[in-house]
Amino acid sequence: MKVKEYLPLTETSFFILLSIAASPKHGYAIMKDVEAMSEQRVVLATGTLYSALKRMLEDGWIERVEVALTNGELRERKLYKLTDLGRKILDAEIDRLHKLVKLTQLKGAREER
Amino acid sequence: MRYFEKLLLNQVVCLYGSLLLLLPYPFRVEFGAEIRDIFFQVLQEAEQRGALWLLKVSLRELSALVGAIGRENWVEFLFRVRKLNGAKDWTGVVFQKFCFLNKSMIVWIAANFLGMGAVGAIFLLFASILS
Repeated sequence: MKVKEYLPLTETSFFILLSIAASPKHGYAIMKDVEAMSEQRVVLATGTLYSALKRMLEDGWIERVEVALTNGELRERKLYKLTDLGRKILDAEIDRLHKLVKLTQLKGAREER
Repeated sequence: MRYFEKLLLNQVVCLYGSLLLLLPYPFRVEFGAEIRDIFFQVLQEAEQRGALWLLKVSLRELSALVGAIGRENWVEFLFRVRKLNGAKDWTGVVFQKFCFLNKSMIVWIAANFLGMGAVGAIFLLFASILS
């Protein structure tokens, strides 16, 4: 399947991919990051987040990294990171959004404030 | 912690734990523990911001979980049907699955429905007389 066939991404998918683009993160950190990046506009609940993560894992956009236990932790922490396919999809989506913004500027559609 | 918040917290944790059991087994095995851990973290954070915030977060989490239960069970159902039959048309497969119902079973189910209807009608009659 071509990368472009996955586009456009939903806002939730886009923010999740963007959140783990820089470094692998665990579920709670992804939730908080998405909330901060979207200025509290996209607030993910736990169920929604894990449904999305499961789908992305199945599609090969992300992968899971298990981190060994440190003192005081009862369970292994699972981090999520982008795969090559995931990064390609994110880059393609960013390109698409750039083109849209450029087009908007060209057409002068945005009212100057 | 105030009494109301504690009560709410206990109820929400119980309800969430029960609802988690409704997720499909493979999903629960893979993500159940993580979901529970994160849910506790979210609740702990909400608890510090007061009862109203806790209520808001609880409702958001519960409704999202209900949505996830529906979605994941549907996905799991489609996956199993396709895996079992190699079929793309799931409606035909579902119909096949219910072909084990023979005539007498259908009559028995219909009778039960009628029976429940009759009991309901009698209950309504009594309720109207009493009111």
